[in-house]
Amino acid sequence: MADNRQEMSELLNSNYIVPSEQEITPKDTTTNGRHLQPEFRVNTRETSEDVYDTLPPELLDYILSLLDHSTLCSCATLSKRWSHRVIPHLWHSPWMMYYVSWMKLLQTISTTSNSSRPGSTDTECERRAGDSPENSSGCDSTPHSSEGGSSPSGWKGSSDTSYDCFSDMEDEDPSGILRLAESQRHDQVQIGWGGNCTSDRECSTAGPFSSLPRNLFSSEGSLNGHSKTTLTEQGTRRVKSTSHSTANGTINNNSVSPFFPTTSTPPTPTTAVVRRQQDHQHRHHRHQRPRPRLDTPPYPGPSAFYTRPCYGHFIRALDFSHLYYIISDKFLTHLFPHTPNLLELIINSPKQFSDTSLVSLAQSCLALRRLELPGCTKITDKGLGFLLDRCQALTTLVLSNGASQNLTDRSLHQLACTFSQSLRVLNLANASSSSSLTGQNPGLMTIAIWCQNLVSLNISHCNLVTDALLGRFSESLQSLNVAHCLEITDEGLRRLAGACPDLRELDITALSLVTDRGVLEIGQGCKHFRRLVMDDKYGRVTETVLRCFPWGAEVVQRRMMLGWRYSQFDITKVFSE
Amino acid sequence: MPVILVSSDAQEFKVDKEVAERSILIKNMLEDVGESDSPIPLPNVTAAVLTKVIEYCEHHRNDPVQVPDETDDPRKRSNDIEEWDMKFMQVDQEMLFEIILAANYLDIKPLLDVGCKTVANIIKGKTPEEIRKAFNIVNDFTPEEEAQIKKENEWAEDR
Repeated sequence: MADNRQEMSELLNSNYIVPSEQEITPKDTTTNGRHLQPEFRVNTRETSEDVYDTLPPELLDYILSLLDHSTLCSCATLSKRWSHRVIPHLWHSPWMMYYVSWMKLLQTISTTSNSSRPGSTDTECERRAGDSPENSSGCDSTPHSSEGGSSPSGWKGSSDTSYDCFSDMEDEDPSGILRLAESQRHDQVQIGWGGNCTSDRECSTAGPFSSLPRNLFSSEGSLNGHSKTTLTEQGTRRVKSTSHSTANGTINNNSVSPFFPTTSTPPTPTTAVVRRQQDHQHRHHRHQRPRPRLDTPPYPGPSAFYTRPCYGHFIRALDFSHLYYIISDKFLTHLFPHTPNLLELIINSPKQFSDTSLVSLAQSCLALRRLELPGCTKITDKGLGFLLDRCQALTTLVLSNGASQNLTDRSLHQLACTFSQSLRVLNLANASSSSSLTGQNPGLMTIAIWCQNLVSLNISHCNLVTDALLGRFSESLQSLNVAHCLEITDEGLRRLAGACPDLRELDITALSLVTDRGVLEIGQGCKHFRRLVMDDKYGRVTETVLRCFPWGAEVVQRRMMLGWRYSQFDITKVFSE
Repeated sequence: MPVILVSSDAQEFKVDKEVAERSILIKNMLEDVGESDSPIPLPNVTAAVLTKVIEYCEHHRNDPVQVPDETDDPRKRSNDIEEWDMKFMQVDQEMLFEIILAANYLDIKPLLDVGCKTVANIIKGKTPEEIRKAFNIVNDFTPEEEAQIKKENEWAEDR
């Protein structure tokens, strides 16, 4: 029996090893293997197999996730299958350092994303994909837009004109919320008599995130009529009501396949009035034209052509922190509708980011997980409230460097109630002295009590934070920054140590009432503690605090450089054991 | 106590338990079965590949177990490979993919990482034509389509 088995294995091995010895011969494949490999691989099995077939998709994705943008760019043109795999990685977090590149990017997004085009359907998208690049940039190849830009909801031709529309727009008015709501309403109505609409399905492809740009691009501009309207309570309420009704419908859309746009997009839920109007128009159209049959598409199957992907759908992360100068509400309200799957957004722009952008963001990007708006001082409770209502997946919110100066406790209450389980990181640092946040503890108190899973909190410069607040944080808290919260005493740190046994990082810069005793309490209560930040001027904490952390924590001393508010500091000494 | 692994071509390999348990698959199997000296069949791995995999596990037998970090973005991680691993990965391309597949099947995360990084390094800095040649990829784009994709993604090139 054993002999048999040995024979068998020898037989199998001999079969296997013969080719494998051959292939192992060129050991130095990395140096000159590029030219040698094909030669040597002729006799091996699976010789002509594409790597795409060798590796399972998840491994291929993993490899692609390790590549930089320029390499991915080369990979995008390898073959159709590769292109489909690579492009989502390439567009995951588009590079935004250069203004010029970013313009191109926006052009590409706005011309290829079919969700932005009126009357442009899946069918037309497929058809367009087969066209030559010259006329495929616009809708020119589609039968309905042969009338050119004269169609009522006319999308205007080529990529260049589409971008020009941005500059033609009027300046933003402060009543952004109302305006957006109005434009959304009109948009829905417009689709009906647009003439571009051939079936129910087409009408229903107007997803919530497609509604905005269409209107902004429209030549008739129903929008202008409403742009001067002032913001009324009624307006905001209307936005709220639509927001609730649309939320469900849009979440489904988030998983839309960008390559083969879905044919079964659920109809856009809108207000009852608009829906009735739409129904009416649908019925009207049903009499006029026969409904195209979905089972027999008038175009060849998706594999026949290279299908243009909607690039915007792949974008998951946008970082504008170095591009404050191109940020404007105008720009962002055009951008967000194209990026429905956005998960992370970082914007650092003091002047140009206001509630209008927030509303646009909330209307388009419901899956948003991380929102960082340091220095965006124009945000108010209204815009943020709208966003918090809709983006329920939010886990990280950064409103530092004065971004919270126009916010009140109302926002914090809403934050605490809506995200009591999910909020993990909150940064309200450097609220300016005029902020009502700093003056009122109750808002922060609700955050402390309600947010059970808060991991990191930064409330530096919130002047009236008291010892009582520190005792109310949940056990999950790992990082706390209370620099310049001048009322905190040793008692506060004692309570903190009792409430948060898992605390790892603490910033107590400029806490003049805190002494070594308070730090000792932390050392006794928090056994995972590893990083303490303090300063060398104001505080009364001495270097002896190192003894509080026998397991070896890092103690950093800050030295203030330029004023104390915007903590321009450098690290002077780092102690650790 | 040694563990006996049987490759797909019925070759037996005797390895230390500690080494075998670098593979999460085998570790879980051993935990499920309990104390037993019956050989473990690995129908998806050939002897040649298994030899390589065991070589890797022998060398890394004392490495600390990696703690998976969910928030970690692979793009931000470095593509540096240790020197020994780099030498270890100097095999021909087919073997490389076999090792990656085996690492995936056996659930040996560090080996999978090294393998994928090696592939990524092979791709890096090559022109599309060179990549096609290296990976036997047939270009099924028309020149127009290719030009169009290039144009649409040219923002990424100047990085």
